[in-house]
Amino acid sequence: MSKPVTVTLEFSGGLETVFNNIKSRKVTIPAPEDGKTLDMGYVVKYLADNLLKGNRDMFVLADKIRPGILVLINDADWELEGEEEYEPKDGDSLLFVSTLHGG
Amino acid sequence: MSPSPSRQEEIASLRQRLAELEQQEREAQQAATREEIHDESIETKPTLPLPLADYTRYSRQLLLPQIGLPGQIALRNAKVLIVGLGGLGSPATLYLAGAGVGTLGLIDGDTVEESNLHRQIAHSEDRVGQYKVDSAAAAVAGLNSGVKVRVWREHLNTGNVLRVLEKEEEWDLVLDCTDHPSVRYLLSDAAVLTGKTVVSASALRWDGQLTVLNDPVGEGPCYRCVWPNVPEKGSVVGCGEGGILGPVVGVMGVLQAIEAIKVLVSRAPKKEVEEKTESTKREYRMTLLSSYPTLQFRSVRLLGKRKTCPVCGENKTITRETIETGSDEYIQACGGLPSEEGLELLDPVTERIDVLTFKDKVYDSESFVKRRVVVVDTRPKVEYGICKLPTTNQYEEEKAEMVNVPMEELDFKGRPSWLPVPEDQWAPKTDVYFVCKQGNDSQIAVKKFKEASKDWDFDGEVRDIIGGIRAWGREVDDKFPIY
Repeated sequence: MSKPVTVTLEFSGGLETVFNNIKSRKVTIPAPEDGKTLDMGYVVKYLADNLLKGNRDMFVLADKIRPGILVLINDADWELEGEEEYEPKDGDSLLFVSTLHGG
Repeated sequence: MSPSPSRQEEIASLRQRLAELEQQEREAQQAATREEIHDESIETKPTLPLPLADYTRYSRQLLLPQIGLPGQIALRNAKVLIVGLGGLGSPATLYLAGAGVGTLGLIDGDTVEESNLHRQIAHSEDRVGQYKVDSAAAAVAGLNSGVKVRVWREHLNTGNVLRVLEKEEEWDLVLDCTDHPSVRYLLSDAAVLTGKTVVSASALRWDGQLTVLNDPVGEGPCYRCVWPNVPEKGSVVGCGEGGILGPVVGVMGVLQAIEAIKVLVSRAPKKEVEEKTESTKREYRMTLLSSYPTLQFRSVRLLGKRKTCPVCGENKTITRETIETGSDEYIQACGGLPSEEGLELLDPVTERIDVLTFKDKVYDSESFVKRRVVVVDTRPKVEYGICKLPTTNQYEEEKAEMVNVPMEELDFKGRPSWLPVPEDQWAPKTDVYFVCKQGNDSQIAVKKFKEASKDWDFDGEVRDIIGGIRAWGREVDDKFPIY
């Protein structure tokens, strides 16, 4: 059974527009009710279900992170940390960056 | 009074001719200058590796131990290709010219527009209408006449990328200063295949991103390694839609110049460069700029090269041939071409309305049956604040009700609360017109409205305005701001 974790959430590259235009905030993520592990896969779905305001497709497609969004755990690509299986710890920084194309 | 279209065309073509002549003149002068410098160095100090004047000109950067004489020679011998002469390419080009990079290649098929000037600082009012590459070449010539400039007045595409990158000049480095993902993928793929490092940056609104790709050549990740999934069509937001602050994109272009100089100087003969950077395990990083509300830079650690990358991984499916054939399949692998074409979601006759008919019907008609007209403007609030359609006609008679409901607030769960019409007042007739900037979002809105309104007792007309408020500005009201 997982415990709730308190993490710093950050959004950049325009993603903040679907999260109330808040670029950075501390959030406590409750443990999954079904007793499953509180991992990044769960965090993504939790954010989409609870904090996202507006166009869900900008953040997730079928509950998975949308292509073109880089997820960084403590400033490292989440693929270095185990992607969806990474279990966030209190104080972790989770940064979601969407690709920019302009120039 | 503004000049007539034919006069404008004539002015544009004369400007173009002027730019070409100026370019030829510059090239001739540069050749002459080079010969002079050459002669001088032979006569006086045959052993000096740099022209005498360069020691003074570049003294402040020569003082940096990481640059020194070998670094400056490396810069002088370097050839850098800059793809895109917009908000990134402008400052990057100017700083590289300032630093004394010997040869700069500039490629861009766009011409300078007035709306570019707030951020594309290599251009100027008197060069509006010229090719950006000619305008930038003029700026470089004014800053540093010792820099050789080559220009390509075309967009980078599958047909020219390998030629420009490889055959026409031996580039030491390429700068990705483009503004569309398809060109970013194309340029990165071609750079991997031709063995070039790419300094890549991008910017939008208040944010920027920077990475050095394929560095060292064959070892570092490419654009596809960092962004393996191409964006879906329609999800790409450019500066023309999302907006951009000039200094934000400017900073990113300046950062590209820093990274470019570092790459070029790092290739100078090592023993003479004082700093010996012993890299342990090479880390690949992306620099992120977020400038609002709090200005902050951060450097994040990237995965590195992907084994599954189709261009630099183990199983290569993107090759020179793939690029050269420019097949649809390859174009799709780059996320599709940048297109100016509008969406065609609705029937133009039965589901849409052009601005002239709209004006006639809503503002000018003396229709016997009074119809309630609701105009729903789906643009973001900030754009609605810039300009909006009128609600009254020329006699100040109220003709329409207007609401601003940005796309992300358009909610169709149940009857829309954002419509200013109470449910019992649908009858006798309420017509709903959706309008946006150019007539794309408004089509999506109509589609959704029609889908949802099947469950409501609604029998009015629902249409969207073809070409949006831009068309209104072009075709109906010449005093209407076009932004």
